[in-house]
Amino acid sequence: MPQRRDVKVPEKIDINMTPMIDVVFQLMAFFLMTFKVSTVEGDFNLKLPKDERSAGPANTQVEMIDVILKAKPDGDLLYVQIGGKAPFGGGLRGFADLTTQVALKVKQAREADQEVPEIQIDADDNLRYENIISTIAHVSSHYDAEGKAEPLATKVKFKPKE
Amino acid sequence: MPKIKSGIDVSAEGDMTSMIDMTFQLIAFFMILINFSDASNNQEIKLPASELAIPPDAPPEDAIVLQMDSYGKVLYSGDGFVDLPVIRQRLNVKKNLLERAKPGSASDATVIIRADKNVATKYVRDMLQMCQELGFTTFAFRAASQER
Repeated sequence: MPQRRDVKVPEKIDINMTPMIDVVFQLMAFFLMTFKVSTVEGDFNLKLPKDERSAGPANTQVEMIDVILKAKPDGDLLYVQIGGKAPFGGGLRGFADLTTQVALKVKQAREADQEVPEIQIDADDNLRYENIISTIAHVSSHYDAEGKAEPLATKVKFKPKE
Repeated sequence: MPKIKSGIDVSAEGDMTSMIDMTFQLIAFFMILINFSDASNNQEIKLPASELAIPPDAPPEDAIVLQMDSYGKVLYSGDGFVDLPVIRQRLNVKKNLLERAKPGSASDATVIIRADKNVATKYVRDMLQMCQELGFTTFAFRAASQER
């Protein structure tokens, strides 16, 4: 007759979870308080040596396009103008017209196997900076018919003020 | 006299597993999203937005970040917003350090300009001119990328 075995009931091991949960909640609180929904930032890269800033283009073959930005007294854009031409107006329409004109001149230069024109921005002192960025964006590239970004002017500079 | 029954001591233990699972998932979510590289960016500055602002593939070497608020005050190296002449002195020190480490490196250093969209152009132009006078030639105008 087989011997009767003592069946041992497995003991339940209680792990103290309290410190872990404390730490986890502290981490949660830290992340919740420091969490920021950050926007993606991009750059417009420009090479602006001091000597080229005040002088004209080194190569006289390179055309210089003067982009004049006139401001309203409150700093908003009044109109965009390419030197010697009628103003385009302000807002998105003005910038769209500017892009069209610059794209035309860039196309003409490329077809004639010449260097792409340089852009010189002549802005009023009180003009809001966002208009400068819009100008740089609209003269440096545009979207073609297929929706691809195509580069336009590669050299953009600021007209010095006395 | 009523009898008091001596019952077994039963402690109520809730199942914590699902709560801990969820909490760990939340921590993982926040850990993935946290971005320490943006910590130095001043959140009060409202950047101009543009569709054509391209996020850089890699941060530029020797980047100098100049942040300008809407009043034309400049923040550099976390010492609060100050006037341009103060920044000029600090940038001059930085330029000398760069030149001492590697001659000619000041012109290779990228000056990142994070200016508020409402600041007057005059202040940005003055800052740019100051940087050029110190010998910095490479600039990155920072803008908030916008979906087309």
